Amino acid sequence: MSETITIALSKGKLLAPTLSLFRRAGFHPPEVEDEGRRLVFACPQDGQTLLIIRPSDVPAYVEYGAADVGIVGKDVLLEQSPDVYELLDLRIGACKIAVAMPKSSTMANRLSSKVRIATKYPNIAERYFNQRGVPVEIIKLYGSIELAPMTGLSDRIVDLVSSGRTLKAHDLIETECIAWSSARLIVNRASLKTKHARIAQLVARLKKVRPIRPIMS
Amino acid sequence: MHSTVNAPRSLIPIGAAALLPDTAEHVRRLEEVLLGRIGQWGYREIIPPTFEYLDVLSAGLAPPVLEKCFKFADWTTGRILVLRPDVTAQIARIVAMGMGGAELPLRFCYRSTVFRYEPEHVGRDREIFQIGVELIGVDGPHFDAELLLLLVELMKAAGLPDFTVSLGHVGFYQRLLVQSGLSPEKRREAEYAAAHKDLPRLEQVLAQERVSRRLARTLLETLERCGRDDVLEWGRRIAGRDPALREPLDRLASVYRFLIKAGCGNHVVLDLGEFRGFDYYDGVVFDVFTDTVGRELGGGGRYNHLIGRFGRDLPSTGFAVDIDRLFAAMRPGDGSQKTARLPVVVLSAPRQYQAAWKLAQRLRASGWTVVQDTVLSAEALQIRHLRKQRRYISASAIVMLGADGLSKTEAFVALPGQSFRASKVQQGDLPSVLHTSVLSEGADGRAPGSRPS
Repeated sequence: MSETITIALSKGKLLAPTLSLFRRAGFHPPEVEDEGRRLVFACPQDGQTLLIIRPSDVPAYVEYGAADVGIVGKDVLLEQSPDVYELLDLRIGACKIAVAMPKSSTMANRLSSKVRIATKYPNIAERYFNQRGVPVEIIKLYGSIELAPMTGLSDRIVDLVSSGRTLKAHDLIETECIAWSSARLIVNRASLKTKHARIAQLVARLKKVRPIRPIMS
Repeated sequence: MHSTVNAPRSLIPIGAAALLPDTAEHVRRLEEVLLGRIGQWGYREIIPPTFEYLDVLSAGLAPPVLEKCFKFADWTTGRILVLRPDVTAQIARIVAMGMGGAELPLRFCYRSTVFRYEPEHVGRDREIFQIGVELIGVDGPHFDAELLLLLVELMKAAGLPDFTVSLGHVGFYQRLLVQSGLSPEKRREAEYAAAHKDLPRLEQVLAQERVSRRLARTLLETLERCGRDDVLEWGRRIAGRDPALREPLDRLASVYRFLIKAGCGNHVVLDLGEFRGFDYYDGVVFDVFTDTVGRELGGGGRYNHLIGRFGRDLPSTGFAVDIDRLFAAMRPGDGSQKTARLPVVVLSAPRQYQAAWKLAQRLRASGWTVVQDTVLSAEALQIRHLRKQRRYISASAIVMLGADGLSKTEAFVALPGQSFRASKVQQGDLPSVLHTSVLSEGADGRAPGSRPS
């Protein structure tokens, strides 16, 4: 088992719990500042190289084989549908992808019966409403989704909900839960075959130390 | 959005690209190497048509593939045509119609492009270069092994230093899913999760449907198993006395033994949880991987019921290699060393055209690559002038007839690769002069494999 595997870790909320899970599994990842400049960390002791990248970039790195393994939220996987293997639910960073609307919803004064949805997840939202036969108009936003209904930009939103405090603060109520999300371990299809021993060891050790139930972030 | 001004338009369709001369030359040479080997194993080439009737070919295409096909109307019949998305289905159709001969087995190969709408982000072309083989009309582990050994041979012929063939049997996992007693709808969900090795989702489906803990664990663990004899042993423990589990396992073991006898066991790993995207596979399946390319370079398997869908029941097996991905996996120089064929340029004034033409043809006949050019002004027929204009600076040699200071039987020769200085030689001596001056300096004007005489 001399080969090294490259692991792409998601920057941001998932990073600290991921690194602590790796430590509990007996690996030796370095101290990484979330906003640090360094993006590549060699861990020869564990036969690993860690990449710290944006969550939405993790699937691309793994799908193309630039990284053998990735740790990324299920929300990103549902949005991008990458062609990778998804071997393990790490059960950290749990949250749900939900539909929310203003408490005092008034029907918008428009001819079209389409419901306007503001979201960071256009694919998830479109699939969800299409499968239910609801005509929608998707507005892709990059942040602060909860602002959209308040300003009249959209009728509803599709967004991540963890504690529900953000929704409350903006007078929004959750109407439907689309899916649950938590951090997943994904693997490149070729790497699983060509570097099987290293990857199997990583999966087995993380499986032993992951939480018994999904933990909210 | 409703502006009357046109937005700048893309000039190339998504997923289309031209292969430029250096790449094209390498790709064609790689294809020749592969087809040469395949031919030596007794497979004969079929050139399938580029389009087919959709209603005919769709019998052999899975719904997800059908959705990715390029389709267009045939104005003469009102029927829908499809650009071939998969050559295996075409060959199945051809064989089912009784073409290709009656003597079994049939060994066919093809070099072809297939067309599929691929999502942009997957980073692959919509016109895919493939080389593939089909072995039709026979069933048995030694025939499965024949194809696997041919695949290994092709990877070696391409000069890949290191590659892994992942070998499985769809029957094993299918049987485990049957044992689970899932409803057809839930089973499709489980199959989808298994094909993508989406373990969390599979776990969820199995738990919701109250599949027994023991079987659920087996179903999950099978997807992670990957190895050699240990995988077979583990599979046998799972299989117990169930003949429907033992049969695929025995088949796999026996194919594997053939591969070991042929000295190729070290390239193989066994994976009992391997599923394929094409739904026509029903036996041994395999893919080939290398660690520098994140996807399979090729793959295939046994499809004993595909040709039957076109009306003639024949067991079959086959595989295809993705030329683009194989090319990406090769190091420069692998399999085919770089030989940029720099031409010899024969230049003359119009009145020496006949002599220049004869010379060019004589040089071509003895293996040189020759570009013939005619210059209209006497001033342009000077080495000095060419050099100033930077014309033909990448030629291996420039031969000039009819320039000032030359008799009818003489020529100037200059080697742009070294200096543009011209030396005067007799035309009759040209082949031997070029031979010694160009070849001894390492500039290469030869066609591959032939020495100028």
